[in-house]
Amino acid sequence: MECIEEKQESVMIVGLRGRMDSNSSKIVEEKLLGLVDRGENQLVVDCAQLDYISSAGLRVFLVTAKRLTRTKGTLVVSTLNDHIKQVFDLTGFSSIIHICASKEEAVASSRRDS
Amino acid sequence: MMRRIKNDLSELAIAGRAIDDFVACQGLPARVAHELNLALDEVLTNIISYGYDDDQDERSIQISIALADDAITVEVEDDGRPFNPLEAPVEAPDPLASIEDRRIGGLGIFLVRNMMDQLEYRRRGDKNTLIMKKRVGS
Repeated sequence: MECIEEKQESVMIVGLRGRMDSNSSKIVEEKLLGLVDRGENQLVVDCAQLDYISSAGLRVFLVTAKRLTRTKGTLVVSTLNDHIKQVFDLTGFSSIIHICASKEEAVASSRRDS
Repeated sequence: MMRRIKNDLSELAIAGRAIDDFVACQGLPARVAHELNLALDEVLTNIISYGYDDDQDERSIQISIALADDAITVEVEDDGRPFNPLEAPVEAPDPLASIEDRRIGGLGIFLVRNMMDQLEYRRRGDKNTLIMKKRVGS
């Protein structure tokens, strides 16, 4: 699992590459919570290169979203593949996590909501 | 097909590859691999996280995958304490302020039940066996 950071003005984009299972999701959690604690308030997590997610991965998104509510920040998740979208839909995460089809859309949406 | 993995979360990827290889060999769609992977991952995570009293002991978990009568059967056998991974302890409530009143405990087991069609747990001698079946016929 790799996390690739990219800053576009006020929006911090983290690209995930690999699998997010109960082992690798710890790395992502550390990265995302670290960014929020550092003051990043507009987070986009781009999943174009994310192959897989388990419930451990979903928890990371939820924990991050909750942490961001304290700072009145936003989390947008983008470019989910069909399998991952299925997991989000099945568990109801699609209605509690903001999802966009592309990174560009997610960044634009983050700017609008700030 | 059979694989043995250690009772360590870092071994999950090995189980994932075994499923991917098996499904590809059988010419079944990627969706089937993904769904099996998800169920197996959640089960193995629960076994590794909760099924052993002494987590410094290296133990081995056996995974068998077979296709028969339009169904894939995945069997997971471990020699930890008597433990049914479908009844794993629900996680403690999140101490952070919640954006919703949404519980996340039990999410893994929910996914297993949705991905698989039949689930059976047995304790035989000193082994836990979980048998999961998924219909893949046309």
